Amino acid sequence: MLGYQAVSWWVAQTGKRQPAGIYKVRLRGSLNEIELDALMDTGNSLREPVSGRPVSVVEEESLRRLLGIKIPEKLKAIPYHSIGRSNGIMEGYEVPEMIIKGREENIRWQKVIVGISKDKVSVNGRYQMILHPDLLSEAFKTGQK
Amino acid sequence: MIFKVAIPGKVQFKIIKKEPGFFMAKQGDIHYIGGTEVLPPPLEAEKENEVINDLGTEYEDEAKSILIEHNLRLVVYIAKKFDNTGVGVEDLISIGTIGLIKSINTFNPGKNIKLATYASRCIENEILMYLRRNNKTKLEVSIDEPLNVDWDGNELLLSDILGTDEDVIYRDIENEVERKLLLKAIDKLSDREKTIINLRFGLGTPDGQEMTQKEVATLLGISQSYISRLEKKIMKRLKRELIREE
Repeated sequence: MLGYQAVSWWVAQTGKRQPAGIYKVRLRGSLNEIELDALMDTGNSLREPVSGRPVSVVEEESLRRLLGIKIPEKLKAIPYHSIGRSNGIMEGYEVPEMIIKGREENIRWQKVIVGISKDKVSVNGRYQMILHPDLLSEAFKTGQK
Repeated sequence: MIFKVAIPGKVQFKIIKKEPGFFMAKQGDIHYIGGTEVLPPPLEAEKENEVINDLGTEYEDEAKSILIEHNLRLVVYIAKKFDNTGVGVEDLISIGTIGLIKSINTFNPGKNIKLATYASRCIENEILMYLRRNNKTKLEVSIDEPLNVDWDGNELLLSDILGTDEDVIYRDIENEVERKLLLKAIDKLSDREKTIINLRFGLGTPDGQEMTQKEVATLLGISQSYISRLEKKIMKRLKRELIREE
């Protein structure tokens, strides 16, 4: 029936997508730094609405270890919607530096925006962060934000 | 969630979703997180009232999010007015946003005031409070404040570039503090005691002329041995006072 066909098409589509890459990412705060595993997922299209900067999402638990970033002047309110949540505001902060470890070279970003997720972002703990795809795209590599 | 399609007499097809959110791809979870590209416009009065009515109910979280989202433009508008205060607009917007959040948390629909009016006041208030706090501490810089951080995480402190000796800076500051404490302690002495100390150690005179015990004794009309005894007593007092101050 139609329902069955639609479902099988959908499953085939998701299988065709690029394998989600997991990268080692270092976040630098004003007092210390942490290293996390991050998933690059094109499903993340979050942007900070005032500056338009791309937002990566980090689990609250992991971000807690990064000191000196939860300062009031750097709070960003990031409206978002996702499955099961049609209207939400994500608490975001500006992090002084992010280093994404690549195979040949690292990508360095200054003043990146990081959104805090109260829940774990991966079910089995494989990664603690979801990178915004623009942070890895060629077009953005030369421009620092 | 269980998704089931049944074709009577033929096939039963069932997909069981293992985790909330989305169908699981072969390689991993898919996260769909969408955001707005621009700041959403304010809500129409009717819609806003509907949302406000949801405050205090089980839909409160979502209602608050909607109200925050649709009043961010207001925050930007107000923040821009303080552009000339030396604080960056983005920081002002962050502070203003805190004001907006506070206003939504404390908004009372029963009172005869529009949310926009109330929120405006809270936003501006928050920014003003921040500017006041900021101005007070602007001139103060900790000498151990890191100025720059290099690759290995080594920090450059202000105290590293001031002075040549390692403890020159701290020494001068400690000296000044000690001087202040000493003067404070001397001030607590009686008038006669103060006079004696000032004369004996040349405090309060432009050339710092120190007088001998004999000279002070003559000046005050008492014996030199008495001056000696008084001085010993004063020193003990000052010492006690200084230890107490620490």
